[in-house]
Amino acid sequence: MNQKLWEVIKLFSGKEEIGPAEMAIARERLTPDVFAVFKEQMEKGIRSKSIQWL
Amino acid sequence: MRNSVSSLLHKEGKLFNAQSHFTWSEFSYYVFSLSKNNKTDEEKKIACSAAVELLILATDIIDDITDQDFANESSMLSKLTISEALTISNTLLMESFSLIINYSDACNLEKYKSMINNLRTAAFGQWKDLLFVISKHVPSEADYFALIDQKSVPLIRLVFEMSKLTNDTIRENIPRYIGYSGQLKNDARDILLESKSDLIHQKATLPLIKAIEFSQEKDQGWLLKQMNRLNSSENNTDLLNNIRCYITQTGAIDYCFILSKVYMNKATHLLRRSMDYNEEYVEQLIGILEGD
Repeated sequence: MNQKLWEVIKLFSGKEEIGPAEMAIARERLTPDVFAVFKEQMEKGIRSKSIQWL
Repeated sequence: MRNSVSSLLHKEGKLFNAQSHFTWSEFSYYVFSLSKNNKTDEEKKIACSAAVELLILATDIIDDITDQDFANESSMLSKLTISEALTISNTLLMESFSLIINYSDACNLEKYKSMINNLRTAAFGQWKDLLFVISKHVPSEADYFALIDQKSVPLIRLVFEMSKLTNDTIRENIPRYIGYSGQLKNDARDILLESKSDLIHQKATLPLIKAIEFSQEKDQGWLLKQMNRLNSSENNTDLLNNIRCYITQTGAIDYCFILSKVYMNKATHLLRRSMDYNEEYVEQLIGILEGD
């Protein structure tokens, strides 16, 4: 469970925004219970902006 | 000593602080009230909840001494000398044992043994935690969870084992999930706070472990090189700010907050699923756990 979540978070670390396409990838790769929390956190805006220099 | 203990119990997160969302005594009281079938009388529940509050206060004092956390107002050491703090911690521990022996079902030898075993495990975990830092060897996520299993989970398990709950699967898993959730949230929060010393002491918390892992994959270990420049005796304000900013941007903080919530959801699911529990107290317990 944890590794898949970390892989998804890393995948988005270079993105300015998380749009529907990215959310679809997350939904596909995470279990429903983890995806629900992931989505909730994204909506709350807790996730920070990506690293610009990468 | 009475005044000093009263003052400590007014600190952030403690029983007499009106702003505390979660206190160990309230948490314990709800756990002791969960069983529908084996009711404990009010006096015993309150005395045992007080015992847990004092026990945790004793360990918090030791934590602040080991972390050398003297500066901020919320520290247990802000108005005490080290000698006073150590003496108070030791006394609180004894008071806690005295309350447990007099009021809990721990007079049942098996329960008492189990309680002491949890405390022993946590004490050894605290020792391991002292050495759990970023060095040439960077601990893994699995190492981190193994440490939480040893230093944090036993304190929560102790509360569940003091209660009259009989379902072993639930008593085993709920404390683990609550322990993981709480530690992850604390570590994700503390690493960004200037008042906390985790970063300067290079504590191997999960946000730092994951950010280093990210850095090693993406930029040849920039973060580890910056960590090596940290010096606990110098003013590192700019460097610390850069490191905190980098850790946040890797997504490691989000990762810990998400995991924390996932584990809390697992605990609440198990609590709500049990038919033997008093629903009113299940919701009270979930309320203080999720509100923290």
